Amino acid sequence: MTPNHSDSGIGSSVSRKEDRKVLLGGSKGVDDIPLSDALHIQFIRSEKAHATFTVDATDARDVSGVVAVYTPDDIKQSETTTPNPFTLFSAPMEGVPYPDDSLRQRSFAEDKVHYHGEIIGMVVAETQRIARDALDEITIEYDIIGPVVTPQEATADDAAAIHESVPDNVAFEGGQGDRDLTDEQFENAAYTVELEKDAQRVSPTPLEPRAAIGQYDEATEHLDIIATTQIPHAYRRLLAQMLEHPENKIDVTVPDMGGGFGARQHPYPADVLVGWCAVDLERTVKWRSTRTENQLVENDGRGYEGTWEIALSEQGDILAVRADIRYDLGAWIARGAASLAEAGNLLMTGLYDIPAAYSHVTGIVTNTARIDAYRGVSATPMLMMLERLVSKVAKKAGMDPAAVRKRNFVDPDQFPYQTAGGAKYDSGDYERNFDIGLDELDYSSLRERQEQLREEGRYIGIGISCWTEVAGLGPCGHIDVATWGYGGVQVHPTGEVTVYAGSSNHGQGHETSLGQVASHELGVPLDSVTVVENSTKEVTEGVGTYASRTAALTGGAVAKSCRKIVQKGGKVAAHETGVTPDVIEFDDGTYYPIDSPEDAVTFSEVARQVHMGADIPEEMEPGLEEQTYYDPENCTWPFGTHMVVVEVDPDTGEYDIDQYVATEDCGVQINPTIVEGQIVGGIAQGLGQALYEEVEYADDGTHLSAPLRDETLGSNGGYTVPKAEHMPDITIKSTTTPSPHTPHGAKGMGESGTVAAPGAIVNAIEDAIEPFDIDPMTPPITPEKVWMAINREGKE
Amino acid sequence: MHTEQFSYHRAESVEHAVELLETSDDARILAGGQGLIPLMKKRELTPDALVDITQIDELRGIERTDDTIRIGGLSTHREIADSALLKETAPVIPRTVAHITGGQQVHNVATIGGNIARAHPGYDYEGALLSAGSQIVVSGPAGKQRVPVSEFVRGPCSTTLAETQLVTSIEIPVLSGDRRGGYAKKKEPASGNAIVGVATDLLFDDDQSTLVKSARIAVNGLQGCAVRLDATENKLEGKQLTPDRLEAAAGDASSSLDSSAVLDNKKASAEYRLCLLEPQVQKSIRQAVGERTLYSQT
Ligand SMILES: Cc1cc2nc3c(=O)[nH]c(=O)nc-3n(C[C@H](O)[C@H](O)[C@H](O)COP(=O)(O)OP(=O)(O)OC[C@H]3O[C@@H](n4cnc5c(N)ncnc54)[C@H](O)[C@@H]3O)c2cc1C
Repeated sequence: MTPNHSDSGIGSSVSRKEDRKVLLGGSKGVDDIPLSDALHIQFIRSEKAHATFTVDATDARDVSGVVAVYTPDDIKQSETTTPNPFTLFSAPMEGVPYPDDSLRQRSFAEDKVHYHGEIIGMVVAETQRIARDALDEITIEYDIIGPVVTPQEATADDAAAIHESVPDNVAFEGGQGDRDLTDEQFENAAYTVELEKDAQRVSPTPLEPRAAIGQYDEATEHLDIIATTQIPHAYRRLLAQMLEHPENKIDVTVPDMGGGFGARQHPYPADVLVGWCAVDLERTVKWRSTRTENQLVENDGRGYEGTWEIALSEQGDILAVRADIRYDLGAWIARGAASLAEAGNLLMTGLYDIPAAYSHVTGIVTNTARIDAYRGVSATPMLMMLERLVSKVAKKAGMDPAAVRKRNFVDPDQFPYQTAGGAKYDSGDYERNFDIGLDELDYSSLRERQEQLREEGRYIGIGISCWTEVAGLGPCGHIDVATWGYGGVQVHPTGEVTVYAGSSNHGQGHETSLGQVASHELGVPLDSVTVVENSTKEVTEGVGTYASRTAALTGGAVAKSCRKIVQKGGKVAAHETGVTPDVIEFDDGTYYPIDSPEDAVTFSEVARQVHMGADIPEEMEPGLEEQTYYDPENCTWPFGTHMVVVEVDPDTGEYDIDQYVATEDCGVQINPTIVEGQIVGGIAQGLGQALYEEVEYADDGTHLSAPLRDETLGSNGGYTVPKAEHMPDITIKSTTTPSPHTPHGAKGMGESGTVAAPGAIVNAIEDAIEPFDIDPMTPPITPEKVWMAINREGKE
Repeated sequence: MHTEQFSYHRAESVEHAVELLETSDDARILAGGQGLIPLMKKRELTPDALVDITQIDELRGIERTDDTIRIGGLSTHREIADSALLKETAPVIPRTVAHITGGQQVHNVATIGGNIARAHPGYDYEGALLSAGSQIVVSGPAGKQRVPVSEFVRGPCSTTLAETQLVTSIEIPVLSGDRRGGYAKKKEPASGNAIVGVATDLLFDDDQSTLVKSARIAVNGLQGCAVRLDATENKLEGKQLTPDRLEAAAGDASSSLDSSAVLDNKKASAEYRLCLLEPQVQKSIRQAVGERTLYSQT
């Protein structure tokens, strides 16, 4: 049977079904859910980063309208089981054991706080205002312990231990790759470059601050949670385990959610305590964070600092890459944090055929909020550094950075390609993709123009960055939780279709893209497909949306379920037309015997017939519904090239991005417009990391980056999330190298911009100001930093 | 609700507003709320009462009397940016407002009265009002008063306004001739506020003339309050505007400034602010000059 095409199938840029609702303000977030007689929670949060403490809540309990105040003692003494510590979903890397149990995050601080914002307790009141007012009545006495805010401080000789059982603040340490071979390659290299990086924590900053509602029915012992999570089913599983409550008596629903970017993957202490509180009070409780509260404790991304190196041969072959990384984990090791170290190492050789790579990662706890997944995860620092190094070593060798890249790409016939870091790339055709970018820029003339302009005192720079990511995680057994994709498909007797997706839509357009997969496979119009997602009540199972996995894995599962359906329908059609199933064709929603197309039966006729169960083959069960748990044989490895042209004004350090060309390859695109949206959004966040964003902590561990707009005199003005006015025009091009192993050749496409943009932009700025012979820049590169570099260190 | 509890009063008239301000202990005026509400949500401000002035009609409107333009204190950024009258008579004002960030949502509700009353050094109006020679009209228990903007703003987020007074309007003198305005701004990217904002108010005889009859140039964001750039103004006033003179005037921008008063904070160092001054002054003057061909001796 051949795949079936319709106007709205795979490859069509249909408008997103969800746009109307989103654009006209019809979205409903957690805070929009109408609730009668819910109680409101406000968390008591630590104002200090590292201290032992005592809490006095006497006055707060007396505030009229306060229903309960929970200090650590109240939680521990309650009949409701105290939440268990969080778990990790994987060990840091192969051969490195799980970190000490004492590093697993706790839902509240018992007598010592470890970061600014850690939960000490909660106030529950009839209104949010009363709960907030009562917070002001709580007195906390702190006994400060010297905070260690950076990995450097945390590993200094006299550093205070954040957790007693880990006196050196080192959570884990391990290496990946072949160290000896790498060292040897470095010794034989003609050119080497070494580059430092600081931790540059960045905040994912979804539009909607986190929120949760817990509803408990004491009669059935059912706990209903409405929350902001990207992984409803896994979230349920975690709550069940932490609250010691049966999993089949918990449901998790996610209404329209305003973004996640990885930060809404794993529950936070607040989520667990909302559930706990609902059970304890046997009531409906609601918590909605403010922006400030959200930024204070929501996980940051990156946190990688250290030294990266590259080795190049006389001829321009990249011989090896090496990294020594200190990984800032925050005060507790977050559920996904440990394994991010491995993910970065896997692809540290990028798109190049580099024979040797070694990276050593030391995971360090600091008195800060946790670090966990953020779009691009550890691919961002690893590839930003690799791409910076490739450009630098090329220049050192007097070679063109584009030429060195072309020389070193993995060739199309080398796939599947085993990287020196341990990944197996599925498919790729890098040079073809790269050349499109070069052509678009008219690269060699642009280099000439750059020379001419320099004569006139104008400084343009060209930055290139190639990328890949671990998309569509992945084959089961890769980490210690399930990672298949779930897709159920039900065909109604009317021929309409409902897709039950085990992923989570929070802006990606799954209603459309997953609908397109079903439309394509079943030959039904997109309008007859409804996609149900984000609910453990409606969707049997799921792993959620993260690691750019939905197109490949949920899409793959939906495709497979559709194919099972088409096959079953084929048997019915064969039965109906009196032929054997092997001579039945299925095309654009119709079945027909290959030799007598006039005996066609439509898909909806078949659907009705199977539903009725009357005239179907004897051994067949009625009903047309299938499920798939799709365990892929590999992750997918999309790739691309970002090329950026900037002009820098040396008098002021200001820069303009004149051109931004992203050439992408994510295999078969389900919906090119949605792919473009992912690219542009990712670039915005990558641009943020290159130019604007950095989470800041004061020396005493006070978090300083909560407001997005701050009028406090002397402040930095707020944490800068790039806005429309900061975005360049982006030219998007693509190539298509299908994944050989996903059902419809799609690869993941969520993170390209966040991985590629930082390196491309930083390279462009450094290329522009190269004549001034300045030291490497440290992102975020503000105009003031450029100006300082040129005017303080500048040697021209 | 994140604010502390407060009582809410809607003023029907200026007198009523003054009365309400007098009778409550710790009252605040509520106009567009764009400066006030964020502070209340964070409980950095916890007034007992809010006096909502948005229903007072006499605070609205932009009109001209013989020699004065009167901008009602409740005029929104949007109304000011779109005002044909202001574009004609005091173009520096709408030019400046076009640089206020926050998008339509902010522009549709934020007011000029609220902006100048907050007197934030990163806000944009102050420099423009100073360059246009504006008076702030305030009303209080003792009646109406006109205060030049340079006296009205005392320092960062501080004005001479008493707790019982409100800004009712802003008055700008009408000048005869061809009046041109420009505004150039270097923004801090998160808040959109000015690190350096330069407002230029130039007067020529007509749209061909290159003889500068008067030049009033002020910078905000640079120091705690907006300041005039005397040296630059002097280089231009009464002179033929040549390309060289324009550049020289901009080059002199910092020479009449007290450089020790330049803000030095996380948004930008003092050194960097001063570095930005000259190019921003140039940009602002060039915008004011517009298409006119500069004078040249040859
Ligand atoms: C996203 C965003 C971006 C912004 N970007 C900029 C920018 O780029 N440049 C800029 O200049 N500003 C900017 N602002 C600030 C905004 O322009 C000011 O906050 C606004 O003009 C204040 O006016 P309002 O009517 O909202 O005043 P309110 O917030 O209602 O009041 C502000 C203060 O003034 C007092 N007040 C209000 N009206 C009067 C009156 N008539 N008499 C006496 N006191 C009064 C209030 O009591 C309060 O203390 C931005 C704001 C936001 C939210």
